[in-house]
Amino acid sequence: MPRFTSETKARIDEIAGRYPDRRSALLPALWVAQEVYDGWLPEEAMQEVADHLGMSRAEVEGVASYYTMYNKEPVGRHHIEICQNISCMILGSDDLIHHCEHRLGVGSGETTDDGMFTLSRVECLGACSNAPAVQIGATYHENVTKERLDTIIEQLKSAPSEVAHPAQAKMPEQGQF
Amino acid sequence: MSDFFEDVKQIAREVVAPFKGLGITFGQLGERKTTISFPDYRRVMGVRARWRHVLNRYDNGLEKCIGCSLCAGACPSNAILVVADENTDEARFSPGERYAVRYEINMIRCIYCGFCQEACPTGAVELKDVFEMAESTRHDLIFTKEMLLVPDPNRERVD
Amino acid sequence: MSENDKNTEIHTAQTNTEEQANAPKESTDQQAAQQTIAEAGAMPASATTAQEAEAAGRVADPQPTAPPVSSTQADGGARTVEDTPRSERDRTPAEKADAVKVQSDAEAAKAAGVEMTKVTVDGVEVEVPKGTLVIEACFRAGADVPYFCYHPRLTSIGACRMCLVSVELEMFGARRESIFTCCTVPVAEGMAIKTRTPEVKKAQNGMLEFLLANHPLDCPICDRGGECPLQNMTVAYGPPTSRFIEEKRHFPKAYPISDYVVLDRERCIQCMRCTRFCEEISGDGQLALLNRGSSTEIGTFFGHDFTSNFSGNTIEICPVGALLSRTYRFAARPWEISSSDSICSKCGNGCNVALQTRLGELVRVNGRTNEDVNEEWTCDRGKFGNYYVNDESRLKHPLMRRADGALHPASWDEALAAVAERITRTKAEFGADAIAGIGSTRCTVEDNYLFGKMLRALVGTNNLDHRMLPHGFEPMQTTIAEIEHFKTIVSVGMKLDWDQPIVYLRVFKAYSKKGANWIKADVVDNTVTEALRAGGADAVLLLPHHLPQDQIDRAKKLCASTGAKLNVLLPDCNSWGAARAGILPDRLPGLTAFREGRAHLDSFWKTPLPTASGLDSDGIFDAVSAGRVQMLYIMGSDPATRFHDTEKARRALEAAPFVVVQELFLTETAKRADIVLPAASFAEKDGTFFNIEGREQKIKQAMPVKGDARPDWRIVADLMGRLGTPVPYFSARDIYREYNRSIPKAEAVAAR
Repeated sequence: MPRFTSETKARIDEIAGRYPDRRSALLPALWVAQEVYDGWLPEEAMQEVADHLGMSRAEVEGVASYYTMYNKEPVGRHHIEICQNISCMILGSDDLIHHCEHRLGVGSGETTDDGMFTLSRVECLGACSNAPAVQIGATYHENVTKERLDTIIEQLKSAPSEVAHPAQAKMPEQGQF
Repeated sequence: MSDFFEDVKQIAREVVAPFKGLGITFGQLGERKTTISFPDYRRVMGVRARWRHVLNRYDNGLEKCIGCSLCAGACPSNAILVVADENTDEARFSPGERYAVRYEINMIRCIYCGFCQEACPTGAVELKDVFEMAESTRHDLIFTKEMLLVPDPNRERVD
Repeated sequence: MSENDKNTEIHTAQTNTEEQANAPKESTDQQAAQQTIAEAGAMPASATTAQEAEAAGRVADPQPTAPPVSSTQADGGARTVEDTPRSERDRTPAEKADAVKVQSDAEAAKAAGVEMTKVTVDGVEVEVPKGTLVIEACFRAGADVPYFCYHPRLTSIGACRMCLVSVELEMFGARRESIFTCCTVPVAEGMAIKTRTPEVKKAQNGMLEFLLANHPLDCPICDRGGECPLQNMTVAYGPPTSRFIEEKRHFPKAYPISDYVVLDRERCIQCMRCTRFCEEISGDGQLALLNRGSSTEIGTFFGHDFTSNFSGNTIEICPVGALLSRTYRFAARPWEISSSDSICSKCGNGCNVALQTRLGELVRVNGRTNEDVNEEWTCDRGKFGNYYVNDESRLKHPLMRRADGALHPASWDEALAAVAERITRTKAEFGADAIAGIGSTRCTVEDNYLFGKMLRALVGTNNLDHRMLPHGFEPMQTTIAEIEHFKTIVSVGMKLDWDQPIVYLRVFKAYSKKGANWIKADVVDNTVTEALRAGGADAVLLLPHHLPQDQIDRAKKLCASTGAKLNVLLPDCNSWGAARAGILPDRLPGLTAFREGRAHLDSFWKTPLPTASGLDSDGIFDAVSAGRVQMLYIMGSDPATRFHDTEKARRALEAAPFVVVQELFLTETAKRADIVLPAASFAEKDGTFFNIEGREQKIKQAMPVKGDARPDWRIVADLMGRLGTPVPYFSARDIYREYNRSIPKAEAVAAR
């Protein structure tokens, strides 16, 4: 069931217009698709992107599977991504991850039963100066401690609509790609 | 003159020679015989004797042969034919993907050099000390896989 | 100065001093270069001294590490045996073909006036066109460079990192030397390339150790074993053992990704030859590299089938046993195969293939290089469709319809005697025109020529046709290879990649690499007209043969007016050959018209030929139903399923008092015959095919004939003997020679 509306297609076309070659717009187009397809990229999403950009489907899957930031499985409403690279690791991201796992009752890469939270370990978030860093949706949380993480999670539970899904966050403005 | 004495010596030697020879013969009478009466008695083969081939199995009964044809490739007299096929879960003959569906050795072509044994990556083909392979037709001397395979240790013999 | 630069310079300094010891002739240059490095002097003092000390130590070393050959090379001597680790016979056919392709490309570029660049490879100077890759320069100089991902017909991406060589070049005022993947570096003037320095050897050796880190080494059961580039390169360049003791990565073995291809991901070295093939050559892009890091794998989109019609080529170019054929799976080892050069029988493109057989069975069809036709590719129809020659249901004995009305096996003697007797009787009772013959677009020129000769000269009828569609013949106006140079390409009404695969590859090449405009249409309509008008003389129109006659006529007119070239593409492997052999009611061999050719043939065949044009296939079937034709002789054709009006053909076959069919299988036509004669397939006989562009190509017997079958020409020759004219044909070559002589010379025709 295709979900790309003419509006979505127009958005992708607009992005593609910034490049000399249409296929260069693949990465932003996949972001758009991820947004349209509830935060992850099912087969149909990649198919639609490929067909719209005139690329081979396998190549789209190749690119989407290369980048970890594209979700290949459904994610919950809030995607908690905890950095596990060296700075964060030294400052206790492992503890954070274990804490989170206990608190949410899921392992890394899993989604809670109510579909609220997905917990992932990710590579460097680029916030080493304020490690450990956690990205939830489009928001960075730095210098995170267990207590702070608990508060954030509580906040998210009580006000779910406030924080947007990463894929539902605003697309970067023109020129940022 | 000297020729005359030479002739006499020669004649004397020729007269003595048979007795000398018989002496050796009679001397050997008491020794152990080297020939054996073959069908009733068999000689023990050396440990490195290379005669009839066998195809070995693993302890669990799977064939060691994977049908790779390396023995056929190494064979200097082109005596081996291997036709391979794919193992399935229903019909598994050897570990892995490949097994020999046909494995034939032409025993009259074979020169028993043992190259096949050397080439075999799994130790499947081995030359053993069984040498009694006389048959009355050439065709009977093409040994098939069934003839070469050792019996399955896990299966009782039904004879 | 960055760390990298330092290393490069240090490296250069070392190599230079070493060479200095061995190569007095070059010393002045190199000393100068060394001075430049010393003068640059931006290195921290400590590093410089340490390096200098080490360099000095190495110079003082009584056993220089440089290969002993370098002194000969510096003297301008030829390359020596120790210099190339592999002899010519150790190289795989694919590698040799690559080198030939590089050679011919370079010559073509030189002929086209491309600027030439001089480089030295291991001291041997070669001149190569500007923009040539270093690896190609190495091939031109005869050096042996190991490679996996490089392929002369694909873009180079340096994925396997195997082709490391040392490249020395004047850069930023100094001679610098470094190790590069030579398939990604274009040549520059004055480059000195060294393929066998100790550093290069070490790098190549290390690279192979890495490539083998995850390779399962199950060569004994791998179908590629014995012709595997990875195996060859490892023997020549690789380490004898690996230092990796860790568990290798595991994937499911032999995962089928289509009906024809299995994928063994464990064996894959991620060279990306297959993905580049799918992207650049066949254009379907069905294979891609998925995931990242150590879990990188080749795959199709979400595991869908690999449906490309060119999937077989990825098997052939895979440098390891990762992509393998399902039809060839475990069928043979490469050293057990006997291969013979032939032509594919599945369509009219005439791909050059090698038929590979074992134990009298066709096990594999591989592409052969012919730059004018298929380059080196084949399609899946050809690669996996020719196995019908092994089919157990093939006819093995002549069949005769007996009193009970069923077909029963008979001996050749019996069957041929019956046919000959019937021909004689029919001719005596009803006249020669009561016999009609249908030739075949799948038999060779020799078969068809002899068939025509029998019916014309011995029986005396012109009721002779091979066409299953009531169309005339339009020769192609361009060759297959020329199609890639057109700017506008219009293809009408066919699945080009299935119907005319090799033409499709050319069209796609023009479209993707040369920016041509490719318009696809279902019928010759206004879009086609407009495209051709816009394209002018730089346009080509591709039509399938089965288009209605009015469309073809319209296209002809259109092309004549715009100057575009028209190519009507014929369907079968010898569609042209059957016509050229004269299996037409109004044409003699060589497509000569009666008026021009009869006088020549009368004397050549030593018998007066029938004067009037005969019936075409439609006419023949009408005449059979009307009772005017009493006997049908069908060679290698199946009108009951392939005639444009199958009902008519079937009615005629049932109405005909006597039908003789020469066939491979018991087809619908053969089932309706009175005598069926088993024929040999294209893999079991010699002969000639004319492809769609009229190119004459030879096929060669690759395997013994199945059962009692005989080549078609042999059957016809036997029959001719029984009809009273013993004919001295011992081979297809005899017949081909006669066929050529039966075509009147152009001057003779002109004079008449």
